[in-house]
This record gives sequence, C-alpha cells and structure tokens, in this order.
Amino acid sequence: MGINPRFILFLFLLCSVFIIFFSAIFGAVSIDFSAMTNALSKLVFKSELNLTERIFVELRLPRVLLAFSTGAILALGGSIMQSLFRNPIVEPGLIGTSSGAAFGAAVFIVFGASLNVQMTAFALPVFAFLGALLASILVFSFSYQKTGMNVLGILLIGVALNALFISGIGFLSYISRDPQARSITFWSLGSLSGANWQNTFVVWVTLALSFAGLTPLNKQLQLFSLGEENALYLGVNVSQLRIKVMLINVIMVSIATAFVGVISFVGLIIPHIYRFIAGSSTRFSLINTAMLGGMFLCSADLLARVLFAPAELPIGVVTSLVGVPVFIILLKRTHVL
Amino acid sequence: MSFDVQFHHVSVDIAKTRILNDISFSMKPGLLTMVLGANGSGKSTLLKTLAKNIPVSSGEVMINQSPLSKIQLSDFAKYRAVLTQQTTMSFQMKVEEIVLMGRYPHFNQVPNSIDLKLVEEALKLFELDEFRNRKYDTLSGGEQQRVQFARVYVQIAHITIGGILLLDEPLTFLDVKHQVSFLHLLRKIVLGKQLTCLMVIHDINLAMNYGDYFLFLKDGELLAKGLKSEVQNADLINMVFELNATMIQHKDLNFFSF
Repeated sequence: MGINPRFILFLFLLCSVFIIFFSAIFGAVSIDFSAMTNALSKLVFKSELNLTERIFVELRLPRVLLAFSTGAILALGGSIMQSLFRNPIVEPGLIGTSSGAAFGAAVFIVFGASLNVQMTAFALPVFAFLGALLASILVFSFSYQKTGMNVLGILLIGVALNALFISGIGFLSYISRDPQARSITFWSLGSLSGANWQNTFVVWVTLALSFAGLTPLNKQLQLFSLGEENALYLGVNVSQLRIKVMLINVIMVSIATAFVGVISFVGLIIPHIYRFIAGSSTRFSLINTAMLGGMFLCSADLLARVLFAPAELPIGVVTSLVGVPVFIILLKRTHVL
Repeated sequence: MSFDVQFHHVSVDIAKTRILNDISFSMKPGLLTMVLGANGSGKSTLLKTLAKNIPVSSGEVMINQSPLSKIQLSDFAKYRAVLTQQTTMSFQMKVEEIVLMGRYPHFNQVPNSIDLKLVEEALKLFELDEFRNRKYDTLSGGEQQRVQFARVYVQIAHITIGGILLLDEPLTFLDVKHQVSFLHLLRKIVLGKQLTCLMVIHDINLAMNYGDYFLFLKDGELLAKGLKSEVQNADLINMVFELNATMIQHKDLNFFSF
C-alpha cells in the first residue's frame, strides 16, 4: 500500500482514543458512558464513587492504559530490533529478555515465600526485571568481542539462552505445587489483571523516555537497511548505535514484561503490519508503530476479558490466536510466502 | 572544495596480521585512480582505510593537510561517499527513498528543498526517473547498482566542485554493457565535479582504458604507481598477477591478452 504517514498518524490518534474508551466500557461489568463521565467528574471534585464508578477508575482504566503502553513498547522494541539486526523475524525478547523475565518470576513464585521476600505488589515485577536484566547481560557478555559485537553471535546466544531459561521455568513448574505451577503458566502467557495506577504510571513513563531516546536515533537506524558498512559510510557510528538501541530495548521491554508477563507475537507482527499499511516510508514510523501496538494489545485484552467473561484468558493466548492468522494472511498478500 | 589525499607510510594490521605495509601515494582532484592486484593483495583494505572504516596501525592518511584520524565520521560523510560491490536491502524500499538516504548525513529529521532537488537531479542523471516508485527487489542487478550509485553520488552532490568518491569493485555483478556504461558515467562525473576518486577494479583492460592513475598491490606492498604511460607494460602485469600476458596494440589503445 503506502498511505501518507501524516494521515496515518492522525487516523491512529483518533482510533487509539476510541479503542481505549471502547475497551474501558466492556468487561465482566459493563460501564456506560454516563458512569464514565460521572466517575471522572467525581474524581475532579473528589466526591464518593459508587461501585461501578470505582471499577472504572481503579480497575478498568489503569488496565486499558497499561495494555496500550505495553503494546506500544513491544511494537517499538520489535521495530527497532528488526532494523538493527536487518532481520524481519527478530522480536524484542530475542536477546533473552522475555524468557529471563519469566524465569525471574518463576523463581519468585516458587521460592519467594521461603526466601522471606517482602510480599509487596512490586516484589514479583522486581524479580522478573532482574531476570530479564540478567539474561540480557549474559547474552551481551557472551557475544562481546574486542573488535565489536557480532550480530549473528548475539542472535545465536540469545536463542541458546532462551532455551536454557525455558528449561529452567519447566524445571521450576515441575518441582512446584499445583497452584504455583498454574501461576507460572499464567505469568508465562501474560496477563494484565495486575494493573493498577502505580504500574501503569511506571510503564507510561518508560514508554515516554524510551520514545524520546529513540527518536533522534531513528534516522541512523533506517540506514542499517543498507547494511552496516554502508551505514558507516553515511556517518553512523555503528557500534555505538547498536549498544544504545539494544540498551533502550532491554530496559523498556524488561519493565513492561515485569508487570504483565510474557506477551508473545506483538513485537514480531506489529512492525510488519505497519509496513504493510504505510509502505517503506520512515516518517512517523516510530510513533505510528507504537500506537498500532497499543491498539492491538488493548483490543486483545478486551477479547481476553469478554470472550469467557467473567473468566479471563491469558492475553498471550489471544495475541497468538489473532496474530498468527493475520500475520500469515499478510505474508501471503505481500508475496513473501 | 576539492580534496587532495595523501598516504604517508601507511601500514594496517588486522588481528595481528599485516595487511598493508608502508603504502605511500597521493591522489589529485579530477583524476580516476585505479587500484589493481590479485585477491588478498590488500586492495579493499586500502579503500576501507581511506573510507575511515579501518584504522591505520602506523603512518597517516592526510585529507587536505589534516589527518584522517582527526576527522569526525559524521563530518567525513558530508564529502566522502563509498560505493560497495552489491547492496541487499533488509526491507523493501522504493528507489527514490533509497536515493534520498544519501542525503541523511546532511539533514536532521526532514529533508529540505535542496536535498530533494539533488535527489531529483540524481534520478535524472542516472536515468532512474521511470523506476522511482519501483521496489528495489524488483530491479535487475545492473539497475540496483545504478540506484546505489545514485545514492552515493547524491551524498556529495551538493559540492559544486570536489568531493571524495571511493568505489570497491562496483562492476563485479554487472555485464559488459553495464560495466562500460557505468565507467562512462563515472568518468563524466569525476571530470565534471573534479572528484578525488579511487576505484578497486579487477578487469585490467577496463582499468587501463578508463583510469588516469594506477596503484598495483601485491601481498600488501605497493609494487608500482603511476600514470598509464608509466605502468602499462606486460612485465609489471605479469609480476603483479603472476601471469604470462602479452600486450596487443589496436589503433592507439593497448590491451592485455592472457
């Protein structure tokens, strides 16, 4: 295709607002428009909220916003990593980040009580974040060479460490009791049910800072499509850019994953879908890709909540169920397959 | 601004192996310098050293009296452009978008009217106007190389007179017809813009017929350098390539037969 990116920016902004409100309405409890406006005005005037209004303000709204920001981070991560590695099948968790986070979470779920960890709301995310960081540091240090980082080396070591951490998670599930094993499974498939204003705020700040950090790097990153040698000849400090981009990716994906668990496929398919819509144009590509990821995860979370309401599906199940067919249809349409 | 390039006793080691040993020569604007030598003789390393891709181990490369090691990579990219053998794109892109990438070192977020004007001129000069909206992957090898040449040209096209152009075996994947038209266009640009140009090339006859100045490398040593009249003899060619070639004269042109 190849629609004007400025038009897409405008369209996506409208759609984002619409989808955020639309997903806030539906769920185990439906919230109509007047309840929303009542809740918001009562918030402003600090008066007492009724039950429906409290569900909207304390549960639904942070959840929808967390879904949007997490989707945006995963899509951004996928987009920049695909450019960096010059490879369309790369996703942000590839360098060990997601499986490391899941392993950290599993360690906490199984051993948290016996390790006498303080059971605060942030205990599990901290363990997951440390796991993600540990995995990424391991991948970096194994693939580090004096002459610079070898891209293929990073990919291979990332794949190997992913396998190692997944075995570790399997082992922890095997030795744990049934409810713990279920928690591990639930976490490994992702869930936004733990959303509150605190973690939503943290993820939005992460998104904003990462976006601000990536914007000045985007032009140089685009030059990677010509190959690293040509990028260098166009004035890009290749090794420095590689480190900056991977660092931003690791930090933002670790933080998002720490709160919501492993959500697969968003980072892989959203950049492809965006390229399908916008063509190869690079203008506004970062913000548009981020918004598309946000809208996708918001919609996926809505489905996860309402399909078997009041029970919830793990969101990773929904993103794969929706994402895989869409992805394959796109590949067929663009004649890649 | 035109550029004089000088190599002063340049040696390059890669992973403790000496690739280039004590190389000294100079290049003048408006002249096409051809680098010849067998595989592994250090031709590409020489070009990459001048392109600021590989650092020197000893000696110095001078660009208009200032050492290359002191020049910022991002500044260098504003007047030095490099064309490589073959470029594969990791994502599908349109021809005009690829050519515009040559201007990326010059603008911050959005190209200005000069950038866009230079891209338009390059598309015409390289006869790419009809391809401008085509996807790169759908072009033939010869057309793809022309797109990359246009991108490399546009990188230094804002300089009315001068610029440094380096070409690393750009003819490898072109047929004879495209090789000849490529060299014609190259000569026209080098003369017209008084570029300081260095080209790594395998075909001795094409090099001799289109080049002005010649460097012969063997095992990392600069075996000979000079104008065509100084280096066009069978003895030198045979020594550099370990061959038994003879030189054949046709009208006022000389050819080697192997």
